[in-house]
Amino acid sequence: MAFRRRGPPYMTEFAMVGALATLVVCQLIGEIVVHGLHLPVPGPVLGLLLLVAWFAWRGGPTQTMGTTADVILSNLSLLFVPAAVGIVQHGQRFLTQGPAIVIALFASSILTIAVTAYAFLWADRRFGGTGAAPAEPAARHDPFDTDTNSGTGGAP
Amino acid sequence: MMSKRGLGDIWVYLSASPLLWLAATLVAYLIGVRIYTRTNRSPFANPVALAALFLVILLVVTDTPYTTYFNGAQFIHFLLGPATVALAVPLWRHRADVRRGALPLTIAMVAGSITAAASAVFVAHVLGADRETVLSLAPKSVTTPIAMGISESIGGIPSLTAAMVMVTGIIGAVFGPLLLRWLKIRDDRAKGLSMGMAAHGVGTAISYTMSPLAGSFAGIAMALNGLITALAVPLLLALLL
Repeated sequence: MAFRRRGPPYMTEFAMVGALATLVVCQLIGEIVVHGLHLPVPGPVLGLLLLVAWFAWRGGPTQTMGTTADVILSNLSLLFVPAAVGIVQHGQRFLTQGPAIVIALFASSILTIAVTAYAFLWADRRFGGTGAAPAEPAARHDPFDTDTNSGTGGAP
Repeated sequence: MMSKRGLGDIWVYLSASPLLWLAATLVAYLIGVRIYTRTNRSPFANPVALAALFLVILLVVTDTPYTTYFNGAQFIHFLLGPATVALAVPLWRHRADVRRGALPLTIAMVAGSITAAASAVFVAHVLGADRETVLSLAPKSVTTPIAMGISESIGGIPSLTAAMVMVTGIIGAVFGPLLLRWLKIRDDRAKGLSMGMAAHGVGTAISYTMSPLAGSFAGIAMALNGLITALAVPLLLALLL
């Protein structure tokens, strides 16, 4: 946190708003294009591609954008809770066809993970030609440990 | 001193206001996270599953309709959009890995996408699920907004699909890490890719805790699985049913 205190504090506060605005505006443009052209992609996915293109043009994300994205993505699980509660609307169907649904979802999930992982490893060995997988030790941002999120940024 | 009548009035007022359900969602999630960390991050104590369980019990006990709940929870739900856009950051950081693995990535995603839809439809059909259920199952590995769109276009029930997407995400988050360990898959790219493929955003969130590289590959899988499934599912259904 120390590096934030060096400059005028309002600079970093506004930079955070700027990063948020960039995310929302990318999503907005994505939605407009998707709906205008009737594309089978969701707006946010197009917004993601737009932002990557923006980074390519600008030579990468700003430090605040990096921090903002890390904070949001570290708490990604929370954002799925409202949708998960939606199961309550289909209690009846889950009661009558529950076993079929759950077995289908379970079998399919296990198969999909195994097939995707092995297909990637096979294709990487066959076509990738990069050899060993890049090793990465552990998560830099631990989403469930609020103490570790400081001190990653370094001085500007 | 508050009379019984006063408390009742407060409940009537609060239960219809977004504030109560927004607060309930945050608190339920925090309790879920607390249990998750207390159990040494057991995959079986998935915070999303725990939070949803608490909230479902609360809604049933208080006889609150989901639409009332969602009025408050939508503020959290809304952030899914900007969060998806934010995946551009890890994607950019790992662009070299992505570029190098473009062809293996594409092969794995097409294989995974077809496996996900075909196996779910096949198993549910064999086990005697009705047509609406089977159709709603086809896009279950895709992130919610795209999955609902696909479900509608093939004759499923979009809100049922949304529920199945969440159950799939939780199954993937609980059993995916165990399966990957059991299969002895150590490549972070393969781990993230398979988690994002099978369990969309929930899998991506778990991959993020494995490593940022796994997280960004999961993000790619989630983003592109929607696209591949939207194109593949109608063809697949024509073949299977």
